[in-house]
Amino acid sequence: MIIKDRSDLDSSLNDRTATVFILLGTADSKAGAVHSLMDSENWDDWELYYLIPDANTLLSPAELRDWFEGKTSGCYAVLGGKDIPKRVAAKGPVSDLLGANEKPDYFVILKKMLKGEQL
Amino acid sequence: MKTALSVVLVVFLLLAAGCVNGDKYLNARGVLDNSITYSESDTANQKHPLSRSADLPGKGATLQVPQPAQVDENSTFEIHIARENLGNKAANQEIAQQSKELLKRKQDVANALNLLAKVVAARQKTLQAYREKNFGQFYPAKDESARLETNLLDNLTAIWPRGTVEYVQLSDAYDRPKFEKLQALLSKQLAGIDETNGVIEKELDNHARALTLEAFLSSRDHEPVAVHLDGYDTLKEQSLIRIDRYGLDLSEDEQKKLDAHVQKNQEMVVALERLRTGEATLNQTVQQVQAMLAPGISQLLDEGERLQARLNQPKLTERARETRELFDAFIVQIRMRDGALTEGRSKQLTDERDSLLGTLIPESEQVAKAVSDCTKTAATFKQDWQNATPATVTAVIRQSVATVKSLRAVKLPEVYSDVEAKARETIEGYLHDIGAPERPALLQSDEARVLRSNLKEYYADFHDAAKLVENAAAALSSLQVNPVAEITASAASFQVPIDNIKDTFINLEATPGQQGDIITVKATLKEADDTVVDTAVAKFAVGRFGHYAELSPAVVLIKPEKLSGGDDGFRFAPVLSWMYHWFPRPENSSGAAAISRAVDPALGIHSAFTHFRPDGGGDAVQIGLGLTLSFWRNRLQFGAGYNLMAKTRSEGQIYYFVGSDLIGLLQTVGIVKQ
Repeated sequence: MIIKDRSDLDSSLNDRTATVFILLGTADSKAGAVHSLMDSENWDDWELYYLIPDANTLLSPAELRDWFEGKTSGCYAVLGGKDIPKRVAAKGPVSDLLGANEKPDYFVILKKMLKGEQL
Repeated sequence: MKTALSVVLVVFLLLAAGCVNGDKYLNARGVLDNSITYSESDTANQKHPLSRSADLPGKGATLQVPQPAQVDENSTFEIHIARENLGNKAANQEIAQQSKELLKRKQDVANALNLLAKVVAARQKTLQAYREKNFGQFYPAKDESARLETNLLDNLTAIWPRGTVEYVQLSDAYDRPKFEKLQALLSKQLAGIDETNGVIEKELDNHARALTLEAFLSSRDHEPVAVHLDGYDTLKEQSLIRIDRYGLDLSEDEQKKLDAHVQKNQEMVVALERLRTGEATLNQTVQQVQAMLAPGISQLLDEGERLQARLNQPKLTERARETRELFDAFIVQIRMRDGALTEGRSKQLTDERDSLLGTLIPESEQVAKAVSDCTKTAATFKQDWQNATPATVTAVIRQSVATVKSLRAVKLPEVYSDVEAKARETIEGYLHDIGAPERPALLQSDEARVLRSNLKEYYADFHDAAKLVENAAAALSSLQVNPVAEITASAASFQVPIDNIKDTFINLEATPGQQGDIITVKATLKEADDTVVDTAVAKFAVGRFGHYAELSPAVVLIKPEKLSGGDDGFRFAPVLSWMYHWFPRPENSSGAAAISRAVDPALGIHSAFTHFRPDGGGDAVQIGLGLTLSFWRNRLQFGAGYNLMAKTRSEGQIYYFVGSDLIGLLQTVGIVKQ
């Protein structure tokens, strides 16, 4: 889901069952491509993912620092665990989610998601 | 001084000659030569290696193959095969590597499938807990499910790494949450691996080699015969043919040979005595002896002339006319008895008659030519043999070898052992289209009986002609031992896959071999497509080693010590000695062994048959007993003995003789058949 406000994101972040996969970037960026691929795959109800085009507006500076090391696009973070606030299971540049052909790699993305589920 | 020098020289020559033990070896040429070794177990169950190794410059230790090695006639020789050397190592290693990789892949895919099943089960549990909002179960189930799925992904990406086509296919097939496509893909992969494994196994089969092992016994007077090798042929092992090493417990065959030997000796003594006393001329004696030595040739000539009288061109023309008439009479009989015979079938009977005659007559002409050639050959050989002198005898023998080869090449029609049955079968075949009710009466008719008898004569002539050619070849082949190249594979041998190869043996006591015979062992290694990879041939000469004794008939010149009122000079007489030998084994290189090998001495007792009588005395045979000393395998014999019939020394009580196992000697050079 491409989000422009925090309502869904907050709901997910406060859901003890959820694993939240956040991508920073526009729809036509690499992050957007990863998001598109995730859209085309089947996910469980507790596996949630979001594309945030305007991170500066939507995320607090603390969130940007803790989850994305201050960056506002071209990166991702996977948050999981039943405790609130959720903990970061994986984070890094979006390029980590791409294959050799610069296309999103489903298995890499899935493994990041599963990492979040194991928190 | 001169005498001493001569003695030293003679001893030196004997030692030098005796060091030649008769064993010959060739260096191993190929993988088979290097993988087969032979050893002999003698009567005392002692092992003697028959293969040996030698250090060759630049090559190191190399196995040497017997060509031939000598084996004792009462022994068993074992054939050991190092099968690990015979496989196609390079190809098998490559295939084994492929197979190993494939096995690992199969294990990985099977593991992934197992893991997938666990993932599916864990996910179902997680989903159920989630739907039921049973969070106490959900969190650990989700954790376990994620852990298992991560393992699955690691497993799959290890089999099909990133960047490969399979990785992309796998991504497409990864169909959470049901995983049906993934399961199908993995199952398909397993089936593919099994299929590839089948191809590899087939490839292994293609590289599977097999060994054929055959043994043949070559005797002087016989065609080579196949010898049983346990595990390598379907031949039956012969029953034990024990050879008494003390020469007294003779088999029926040995007894017959001895009787014939003694008989020939006596005949020769009579002929030689007639010469000595002036009753016959040298020419008469030579002819008598020659006729005695080659009776087989005379018999051959008689048989050849008998057959020629039946198989000359005018006779054949006459016989063809007669057979045609008998057929015509039979056809008339058929027409009379079979009312339903159509005109077409009637013509067919005539055509079949012509076809049968068209085969029989040319075959008869072919047989006639073979008989004529064979008889001419026998006549020429007889003539040459009678005119032979010591200087030409080897040329005559050589000529016989060439003649035998040409006789063996003679083409003859198919020969039937039961000529009566063949004639009956021909008539029955002729009536194949005649109705069942008429056939028995026709077969029993006079016309059928006469025709059958006529046809039988053709088949009988074919049979006799084949026998004539065979006998002629046998009579002339006394010097021949067929070379290995002429030995064809025994139909009874089979190919043994390398994995099933085992050591085997030849028991010479269950092999109809005699001293001087050659056992040839031929090994052939083949690929699965019958391509020959390598062959090996080893030969073994059958002999006698150690202690043994034998009866030895001989023709000797015997002389009474004193004979009052009569001739006390040398005269011919037959002697039968029982000689005790010790012949060293080939590996014995001592000086005594060398001398023994060179002169083959033997000591024994004898009985002599003579008639020392004063002039005008009777012809009654006198028997003497005494000692014999022989050399060169009884060829030269010296003896002295006591005449049991003489009362005083002046009546020839003590006698001496010198003689030879003349018949044995002639057999050795191939002049007299055994």
